[in-house]
Amino acid sequence: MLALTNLDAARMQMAVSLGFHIVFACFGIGLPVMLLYAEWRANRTGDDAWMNLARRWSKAFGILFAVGAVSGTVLSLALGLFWPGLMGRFGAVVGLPFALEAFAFFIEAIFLGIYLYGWDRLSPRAHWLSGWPIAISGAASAWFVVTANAWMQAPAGFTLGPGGRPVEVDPIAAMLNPATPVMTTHMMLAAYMATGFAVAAVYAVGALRGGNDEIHRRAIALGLAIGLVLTPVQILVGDWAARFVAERQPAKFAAMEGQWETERGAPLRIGGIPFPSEEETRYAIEIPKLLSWLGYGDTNAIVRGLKEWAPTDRPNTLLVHLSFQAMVAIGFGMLALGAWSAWSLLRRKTLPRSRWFLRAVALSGPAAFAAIEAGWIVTEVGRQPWIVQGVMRTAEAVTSRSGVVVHLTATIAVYVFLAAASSWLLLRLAARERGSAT
Amino acid sequence: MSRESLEIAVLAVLWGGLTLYVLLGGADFGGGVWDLLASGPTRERQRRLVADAIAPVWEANHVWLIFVLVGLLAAFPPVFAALGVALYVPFSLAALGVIFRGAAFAFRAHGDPGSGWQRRWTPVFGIASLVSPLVLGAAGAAIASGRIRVRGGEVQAELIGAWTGPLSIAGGLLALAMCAYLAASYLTVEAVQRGDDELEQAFRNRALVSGIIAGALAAAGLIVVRADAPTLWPGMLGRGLAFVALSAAGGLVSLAATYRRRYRLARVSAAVAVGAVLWGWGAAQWPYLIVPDVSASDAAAPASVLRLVLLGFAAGAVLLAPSLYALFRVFKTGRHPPPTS
Repeated sequence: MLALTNLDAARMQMAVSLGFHIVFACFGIGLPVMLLYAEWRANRTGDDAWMNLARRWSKAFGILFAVGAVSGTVLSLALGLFWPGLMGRFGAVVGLPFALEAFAFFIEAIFLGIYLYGWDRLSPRAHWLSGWPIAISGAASAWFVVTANAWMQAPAGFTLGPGGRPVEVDPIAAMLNPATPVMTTHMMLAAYMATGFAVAAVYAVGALRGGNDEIHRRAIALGLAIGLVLTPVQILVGDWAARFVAERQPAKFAAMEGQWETERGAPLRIGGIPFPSEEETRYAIEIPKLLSWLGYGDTNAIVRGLKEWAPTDRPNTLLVHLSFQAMVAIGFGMLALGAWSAWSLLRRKTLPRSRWFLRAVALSGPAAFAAIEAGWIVTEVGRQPWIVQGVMRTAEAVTSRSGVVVHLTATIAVYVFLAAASSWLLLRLAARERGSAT
Repeated sequence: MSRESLEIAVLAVLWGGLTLYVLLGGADFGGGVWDLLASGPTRERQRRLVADAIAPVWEANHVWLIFVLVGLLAAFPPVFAALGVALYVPFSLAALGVIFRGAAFAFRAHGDPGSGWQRRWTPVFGIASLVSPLVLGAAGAAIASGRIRVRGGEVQAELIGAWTGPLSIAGGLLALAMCAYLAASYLTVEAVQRGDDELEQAFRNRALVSGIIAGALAAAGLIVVRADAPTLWPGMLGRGLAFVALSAAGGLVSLAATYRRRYRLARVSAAVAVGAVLWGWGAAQWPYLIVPDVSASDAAAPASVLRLVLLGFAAGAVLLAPSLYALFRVFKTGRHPPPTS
């Protein structure tokens, strides 16, 4: 680890910080929606089971949001600590969404306080209403932050002046860059799906351990309903995202698909391992002409291969390809889970009851988050060596301070520790609730 | 608006954000300090009071820090970048403090009362609450001290020396004392709302002691400014002087009011005393954002961007003000019983 260059250490530092934060951030986006639904059902029907769920999730949300908030704060510092070159030069272009996100985060944190600690101080209706701003501003903060990342993929809102400095800066155009619609949609859907699957997974584990009561069935049904209904939508959005990348970031697209040669009528590779030293992808199932069609809507379209770029200008193809394959595979696995559920719903008007189904649901939670991490690896590693696509190289942006590796080591240690502590606490919470519910 | 008035307007909003961070988030850190120093027969009740006071508001309070950081990023990008390089170590330590303070507080709150889990997180919460104001105060003072140089876009600052000079030591200690003092003033009011005479007495004593320490440190800080920050000193005597006087007056009123058990007046005047320190500092170093090389006009984003940022602030404030009002009304007016869970 000590052999890492400062640039590699800073990139890994960012990867670890963002990869950690996004898990908690997703719950911040998705859980309020589930809370609103459960509490609404409870208030409307006076049903204890829904109220029970809302109260439990509210406790878990308190822990998850706290960790998400502090890891997010650290990221706002990290932008300056590790990427002063980017922030100093382009802060005026891309700073606005961060400033607006701060307000969204304010609203989220304020109403979170009211929601978590207001159960006994507010009327049921007022309490329920206090959940709405959390859900709305959670979605808004996700949107703002992802627009900033989208700008790094498809920079807009400035022209390059002398010395690579931006002139004619238009932060609104930067925020509404060409990548914003597809990336914000893809990420927000992912957040709702991952939360849904994660909640369903927790209760599927409980059900497998013999806690298969009304509470478990409802939590599984609600979580799966969100996750599975959004899955086909997400696959279509994913296709949109891939076509966008094919158009705007062809090197990333080639790395995703393990495409080394520029060719007409390129095949889609399922699986396979790219060998950068040999410049080829082996062991893949190849479906003729499908990649050209998926990327450009024409079976004979030209797909540019990685060999068009100098080796130093290519992203880490092995990592990008495998991450992309993992994300797509998980997406289709969820689609299969959805088909299984739909088939059972149609035939028996209920979700499948078998243990194998519960096992699959239990797996869907971690899988959803793995897909999100994999997707971000594709997005960020696939953009390399650029930090701002085609405009600024990552190496130009990194801090001049040496010893980032020390920071990286500390960050990994702290986040592993925090992940363990928060998991332990959440598991205990779940175990205790299980004990008191029976 | 002219370019200069735009710069001033954005800076004023950011400085206001910083002030609120210190008055609200700083008091939460101070609460952690009192948690760490809790002692005597009412020790657990003191911790309970601190925890109940902080719990519903700390996450909102600490967003002010993010607000200031990202506002700086959007409106004065070179300053944000330069500080990231120059204050690499204290900002990293502050990040660590922020993480452990928040996580420890939330983790402790969700553990079983009196469990080993809670006992182990308590010192983590306290120490993180102590470290964060110390390093942030030292970092703030470093900006004013002249130890961060920016020449031709190159940042020159010693990794450790830049933020450990005499002014930074004074700044760190003063920040810590102010946080503790604010927290004690606020907690006295909360103890009265709760009708707990023993806690009222305990935090009254703490407010008096920490108030005197903070006042002494602020006075000593002025002497350090004169000796260690020659660029800042004339500004302190000029534009800053009114704020110095205001701070001194606020501190004296606050101590007298605490002594005479007029705690609400004490709370307000303590906030005035602390806020005036920040504005005195800002006024003294104006027009420099990083003394002595980077002025506001050197670093400001184009006017069109500043205008948008201001517009964003205004739109955000329309949502923020009523939300904050609701938060503090629900939890801080003493109209409701303290939370039970």
